[in-house]
Order: sequence, then C-alpha cells, then structure tokens
Amino acid sequence: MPKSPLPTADAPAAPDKAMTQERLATGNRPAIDARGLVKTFGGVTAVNDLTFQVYPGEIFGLVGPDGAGKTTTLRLLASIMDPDAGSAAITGCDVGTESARVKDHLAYMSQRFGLYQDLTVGENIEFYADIYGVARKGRQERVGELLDFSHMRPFIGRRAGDLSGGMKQKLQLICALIHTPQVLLLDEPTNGVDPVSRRDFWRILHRLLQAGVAILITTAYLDEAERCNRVALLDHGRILASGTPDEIKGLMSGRLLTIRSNRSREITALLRDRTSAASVNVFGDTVHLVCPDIDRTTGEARQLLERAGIGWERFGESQPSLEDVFVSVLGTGKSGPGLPGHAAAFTPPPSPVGEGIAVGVEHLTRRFGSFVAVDDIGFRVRRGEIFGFLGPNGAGKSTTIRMLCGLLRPTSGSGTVAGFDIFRQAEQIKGHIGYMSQKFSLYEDLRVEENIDFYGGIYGLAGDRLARRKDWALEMAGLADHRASLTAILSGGWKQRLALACAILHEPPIIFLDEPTSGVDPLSRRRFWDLIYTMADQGITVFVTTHYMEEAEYCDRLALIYGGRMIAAGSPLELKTTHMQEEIIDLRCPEPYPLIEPLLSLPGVRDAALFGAGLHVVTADAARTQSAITRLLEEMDIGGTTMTVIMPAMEDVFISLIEEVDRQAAAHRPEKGRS
Amino acid sequence: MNINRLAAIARKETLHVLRDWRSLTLALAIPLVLILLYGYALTLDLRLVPTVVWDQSRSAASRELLELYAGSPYFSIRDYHEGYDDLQRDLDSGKAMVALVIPGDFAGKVHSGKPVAIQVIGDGSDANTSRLALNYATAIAAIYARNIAAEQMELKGRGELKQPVEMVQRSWYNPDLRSQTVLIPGIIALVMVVVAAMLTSTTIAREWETGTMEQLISTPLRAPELIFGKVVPYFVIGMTDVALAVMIGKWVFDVPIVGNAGLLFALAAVFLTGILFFGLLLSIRLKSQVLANQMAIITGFMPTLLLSGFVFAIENMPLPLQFLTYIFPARYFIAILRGIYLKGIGLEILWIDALFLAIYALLMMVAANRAFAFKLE
Repeated sequence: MPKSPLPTADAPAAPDKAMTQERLATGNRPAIDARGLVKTFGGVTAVNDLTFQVYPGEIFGLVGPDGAGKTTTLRLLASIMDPDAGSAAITGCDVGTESARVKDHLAYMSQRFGLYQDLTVGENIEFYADIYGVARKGRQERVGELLDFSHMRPFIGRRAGDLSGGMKQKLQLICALIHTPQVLLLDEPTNGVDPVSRRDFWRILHRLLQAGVAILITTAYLDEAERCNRVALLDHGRILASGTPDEIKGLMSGRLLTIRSNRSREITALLRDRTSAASVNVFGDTVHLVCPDIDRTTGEARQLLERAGIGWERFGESQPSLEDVFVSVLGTGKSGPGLPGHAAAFTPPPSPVGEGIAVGVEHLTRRFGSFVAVDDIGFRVRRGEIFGFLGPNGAGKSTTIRMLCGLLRPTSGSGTVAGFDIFRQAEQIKGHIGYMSQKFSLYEDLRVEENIDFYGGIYGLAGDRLARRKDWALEMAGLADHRASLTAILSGGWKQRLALACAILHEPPIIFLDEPTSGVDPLSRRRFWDLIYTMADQGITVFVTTHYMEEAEYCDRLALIYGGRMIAAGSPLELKTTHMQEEIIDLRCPEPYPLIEPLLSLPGVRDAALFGAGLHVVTADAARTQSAITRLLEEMDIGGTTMTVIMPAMEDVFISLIEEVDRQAAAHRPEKGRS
Repeated sequence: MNINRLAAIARKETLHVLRDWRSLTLALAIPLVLILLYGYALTLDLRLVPTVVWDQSRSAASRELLELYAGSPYFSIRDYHEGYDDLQRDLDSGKAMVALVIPGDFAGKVHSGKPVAIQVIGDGSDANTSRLALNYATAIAAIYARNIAAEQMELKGRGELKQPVEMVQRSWYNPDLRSQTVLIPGIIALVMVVVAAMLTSTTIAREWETGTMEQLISTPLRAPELIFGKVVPYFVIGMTDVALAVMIGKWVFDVPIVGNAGLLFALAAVFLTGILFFGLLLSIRLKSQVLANQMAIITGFMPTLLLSGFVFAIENMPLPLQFLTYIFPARYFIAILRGIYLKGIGLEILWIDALFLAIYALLMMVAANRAFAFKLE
C-alpha cells in the first residue's frame, strides 16, 4: 500500500482517547441522540424503544441478525422515515421537526448503490456537491483531496456502473462526504467489497473520526464491528447489549476453549453433546467450545480425543471474538424458533462419482468480447471436499461457476463435472448437480411449500419421493412451521436455507453455491456452514464461492481468484504458510489509528493496517521490527499494548497476493505497450 | 426553492437522456413515425372506391351514366357482371366496395321522362367508407338526372332549366376538404402526449427502483427542486418534437400555419407543461416504471385519440362522453391548434381554451408536488 500523506482534516480535533463516560462527564453534546424510537410496519415492530447516543469522533456499530431493525434505525435517524414514537436528534436538531437542518449536517449511505450508473465518477461527485450546495470556491480542492485519499482519481472519467464493488462504495462515500458532514450513517457499507478496498474504506473512516465526525455503522462483518469504539447488539428492534467490544465480549456466558486440528470436523462430531460445553462449533480447522466450566470441559475433551486417537495442533483457551459472543447471545434459544437443528438428517448418500475427482478443469477461459472474465484457470476438486473459490466481486467467480454448471459455454479449455464434459454434456451435468445462485432464485409470491414443489417438479420428483424430499427439505431449512408462509416474508437466512434445500432436492452428488451467504447475518451464516459440513461428511462435494475472508478458512481447499486469474490454491493452512513471505505482528493497543503512520516509517515494515481492534504489521523480519516497535511505543509513551507474531489471516494472505499481482502487472504494462 | 439544486437535477437528468441513446432516439423517432403513419394512413377522404357494375340496360344512356362514375375521382369501375351472384362474390371477397345495378328499362324510361331507379349497393361492413361512397354515388346520380332534365327542357324548347334554390358549397379554412389539413394539428397534440408521457412517467419511478431515491431524499434536496429540475430536459425534448411536427406538416404534407406561429408554440409550451407534470404525478404515485408507463399511455394516448375531437367529432358523442372530454387537456389544445393552423384566429377567441390549459398545467404542478412525500413509507 502506498504511504499516502495524510491530509489535514477540515476541523481537526485531537485524537480523543477518552471513552464514552469521560465524554459524558465533560458535557459533550451527543451528535446522535436517539430516545425511545419506535417504528412498526403492519403488525411487526421493526424498532422497539431504541435509545442510544453517539458522540463526535466516535464510531458506533450496530450489529444484529437480518430483520433486527438496523436499516430502519438508520432511516429514522436520516430523517427519511418518520418514527411512530420517540424522537431523535442529529447535532441537536430534531429529525422530525428540523428535517432540513438535520440533512445539512448528515450524510447517509443506504445499502443499495445510490449513485447514477450512467454518470461518470466526476459527474456523480459534481452532482452531489451541487445538491449539498458546496461552494464553487474550494470545491475542487475538497474533491481532489477525497479522490486522492480514496485512490479514486484515476477513475474520475469512468462510468459509475463500470466500477468494481469496492470502488463503487468508495465513490458513494466520497459523495456522502463532499459537504463535510458532522454525522455519518452507513448501512453495511463494505458488504461484498474486496479486502483492499475495505482497508481504504476504513482508513477514510478513521480520518473522519479524527476530524470529530460521529459515525454510526451497521455491518455484517464482525471483525469490522471490533474496530468500533462502541457496539450495540440489536435483535427484534431492541438493544440486547451495548458497550465497547471488550465489554460485549465479557457478556459471553462461559469461556472459550479452542482446538485446532486438521480433523476438526471429526472432533466436532465427537465432542458435540458429549461434554459439558454449551456449544460446539467448527470454524475451518478450529473447533470452538463455549464452556460454563472450562477446566471440566478441557478434561472431558482431552479424554475423548485421546480415546479416539485424534491429535491436535493447538488445544487451549482463547479470547472470544465478537462473532463467538454474537452466536452465543443470539443463538441461545430465544431468537431462534424454527432454526434447524445441527443434525438435520441427510437421507441416502449420493451416487458415487468417478475416481474421486468431482470437478476438474484445465486452462478454462471465458471471454466476453475483448474482456477476459476467466483467464486460464485449472483445479481439481475431490469427492466430498469443500472447495472454496475466493475473490472480490467481479473477479470471475460467478462466470466460472456458470461454466461448470453448464449454463455458460467456455471460450476455451477443458473440464469435467461429475464425470461429464463441460463442452459436450452440459445437459447431463445439470441433472447431476445442484446450483444455488447468488440471488436465491425463489419465487417470492409462492409459498414455501409451493417453491419446493416447483423445484421438485423441475427435477422430475413426484409422488412418495417428492413428499419425502419435501419433508426433508422443510426440516433441513428449519421451515417446517412455515411451510404455508409466503416466501417474500422470510428473512434472508431462511430464504438462503430454502434456496439450498430447493437446489439439492434431487440429491445431487455435487452442489455449487454462488455467494450463498452474501447479505446474510453471522448467525445464519454459521448455521449454513453447519449444513455444508454435514453434507460434505456424507460425501457430497461442495463448491462454494465467497468474498468473506473468514469463510474461506472454513473450506478444505480453496483457490484465490483475482482479475479472472487464479493467483493461488491450496488448503487454508498451506496458503498461510507458503504464500506469504512476510511475517505478521499483531499489535493490540487502545488507539491503533494514529500509530499507522509512524509504524510505516519503521525499517522493514511493508504494511500496517487496522485489523479487528488492533493492527497487523507486515514485516520481512519480525524480530527486528518487534524491537523497533517497542522503542517507538516507548518514545510515544503508549502503554497497554500487546504484541505477538501470528499466523497471517486469510485477509493478509489475499491482500499480499493481490498486491504482488498488481506490482507485476504494473511492471509488465510498458512491455505490452511496445509489443 | 434553491435554484442551484434545481439546476443540478436538470443537468443530471440531461446527462441521463444523452447517455440513454435508445430513449433519446425513441423520443425523436416516435413523432416522426406517428406523423408519417397518421398523415398517410389516416386519411378520411374517399378515393377510387372499387366498384362493380351490372348494366342490364346496355344502352347509350347507361354508358353515359357510368362514365360519370368512372370519370369522378371517387369511383373506379373494376368489372362488369351479369347477375347478382357475381356482384355478391366481389362484395364478399372485398374486391369491390360498391355495386351499381342499372335496370333493363333504364334507357326507355329516361327518354320517356319517366322516373327510373338505379340500385347502389354498399359494403356496410366498412360503415364509414360505405356511407361516404353511397352519398357520392347518389350525388353523381343526381347530377346525371339534372343534366337529363336540362336536356329535355331544351329539346322541348322551354329554355334553360332554372332551379328555384341553388346551393353553392364553400368549405372555409379547408377549401379542398383535405383530411390531412384537419389531422396534422391533431397529430401534433398526440405526439406530444405520447412522448411526454413516455419520458416523465418513468423518471421518478426509476430512481425508486434503482435505489438512488433513498440517497436523494437524505440530502437537503426538496421535492419542488427535484420535480421542476426533472421536467427541464423533457420540456426541451417535447418542444423539439413540436417543432419537428410543425416542419413535417409544412414540408411533407403541405399544411402551413395560417395564424400566429409564436402563439402556437407558446400555447404548446403550456400544454406540454401540463402533461409532463401529469407523467411525473403518475411516476410519483405508482413508483413503478412499467406501471407508470402503461398508465401514461392509457390515460394519455387513448383519450387524445378518441375523446379530443381529433378524429371523432365531440358533438356526435353521447352526452356523458362529451362531459368526459372536458377533463382531458387535449380537447382544448386541439381546438387551439386547429384555430391557429386553419382559421388563423388568436387569443381573442381561443383565450378560454388557453385558460383551461393553463389551469390544467397548474393543477398538475401542484398535484405532483403534493404527492411527493420525500419520505420512505
């Protein structure tokens, strides 16, 4: 990442280390003040007596499952929806009676792309500058500053519709910031955005915080929530808990025991319901046990594993992440009627496929005109494997999956799926696979059962078999009580499971899932992965695309795809250990943001970026850098820090690989120009 | 209302129009197509009606009569038959629209001065043409009868035939009674309604559908700024279409403006404003592009075609329908257009129609502004 000079903010405020209580004590006026907000739609209460404050220079995260009321809350605060009861003030102006003044001080970014696709980047910015009445004098400087900081200047003449997902979000943020708002409301701004753009995005947010802007953000990425000063956990329109991420983590009833092993799924099956742990969940190669009594569970687990002869790489207590808390607080009964049980029965095992290779492709390429969407990729997926296809939006994931499913003809290359040739036997392939598209192809105006009947009919199921599969599907999706509900009223997580059920009604040996968890809350995501693990255990091959880095770690093997090319492939552990030349230092400190610039100037440091609540420092020589950091912290008189050399997260690996590719592309470009 | 924000909306909307070449082409091509189509196809004049004849008389007298038919621009004699069967076959198949039957004693009765009847059969399945054709056929027979009477008077040495009352027909404003002269003004109104409805009925619904509206309503932008700003580019397109239609009318169909062209454009602007805001109102209310567009066509195109006096005279409609025509602005505008185009009259007579147009435009403006809540439901 280039070391961008940090432009001085418009209204510089000293980095404020004080947390909420101190702010209250100094009588600082809240920038966002919600008091007893209520909003109902029909009979459903979306927001129920919501009260919270956000102070200048603070970033406040709203997290919660789908339908928890996050978007409605933001809309009420943005004064684009009227509350049924309660009130709210933005910088002291009431959202009901002083709507015009509220809108002058506020910027709101909705979940949908709110800009004009047929206008260029520059035209969109200019439009919003006019709408906000930004003075012509000084406008170019302001626009230029925002463009430079977001690395968007090279794209000023490009149509917004032609930008990648990450660039679109950055553009939207620029447009929202053009009038220097005091309050920023962001509705899942980084959903579907590639990790590099996400870093840029957070860098901009942190700069705004320095300038005293108050930010309210909803997010489905819990590692992002950890970067917030305070977080509120929302469910059914109510705040279940709020506080700093550390305070929230303290809410987990019990402590966290983690076991890392390459046989994590076996361990999960072994330990589930056989120990005193409240819950047992698997995250890729790591099993998480939430323990009311950690010593007792440790003993039980150790004994069970030794008796089964299963080894491990790491066994011990860990700090719970927000996701652990989220799942443990929300997943315990009260909010989960109708959620599927862990052991949703998968009936007969699928028919065996060939010699253990379910999917194999070589030199697969697809062009659209002059644009190469998929460029010479090759891989093999073994039977019963969970194979992940990881990359940002627009990298070529969906195009690849469509070619494999026989929906799109490759331009060149070769490949087989379930033993059938992807060029000549597309129709046979369709009968032997399940395909779940990004948009959950369900008919919203049909009832749950009618959707299942329809897809059953398409796959030629009838009579007893259809009835049996329907019962199975309803149970698997946890929709047995909702079989007569209209699909349109289901929440995202339910729709997702229903779509999955419809895609595998005919018991295919291979299933393709195209971004199955996009826009689905963490709790539903975890349930969904439980289903995937269960299927894989039965010998079903699962091919899944995702842009969630943490999900990538749940796969057995994965391929990283960027700009249509496969840049790496292997198991998550292989990727982390072999594809990353640099080492990562995890630095935990109370105020990480101001440290980035000084860290980047230390010798040997390649990159320093926010990660969760701390910083990840990428370095060629960890030992040397660690001592340099210690000296730096002493000089700056910063205490309360911890520093550990860690295994890189998938995000670190991915960003490092992407940057390597970009460096090479930059190096090769002049040659291409000559030839 | 902030004029800068209004201008920003107008600029952005203009960019949309310029970028979306399909819509822009449509907006300019539709008037062309409509004018050419209606100008050529929708002619209400009678020309060369295919006619078959059964001449039982086969006399000089009957040939003289038939020559009058054949020589007129209205009839074209296609065939001669013997017997009703053949006549009927031609009428059935549509080969002929009119059949003439001249009785065998035609010549004798004409010479002896006795009354004689000839039979004219029209194809009533095309009532309009048939009625006209029968009228013309009767008129030609009457001319023949008068000629015969005059001849006989002269033969009998009683001098010239003098008719007690003679009607001399003059059709003012359209001396040739060309239907194009009457239709072109109507087509201009039709074109404006179609284009304006097509353009504005989708513009606000589109922003709801793409999600850009949620972003817009969170800014300091106000409803009138958005609404007026959006109308600006479409107003320009609409007026361009008017100019285009006027030019085609003049150069292609030879229908010049007799009256004040400036007044015509000024009142066209008032009419256009009304229907543009009507389109916006639909867009605001329905929030769906497809629905708003269909509604605009149903509520704009149909009444303009049927209930405005464009083709069908309002005076001939049943009373309830006549009352209904008063709520459609096209009625006033077509009256204005014909007044200026054909009669060359000005506001001294047309002020009442102009007033109604202005009231309509104002009502639509207010309604569109009121309908726009600028909030999410």
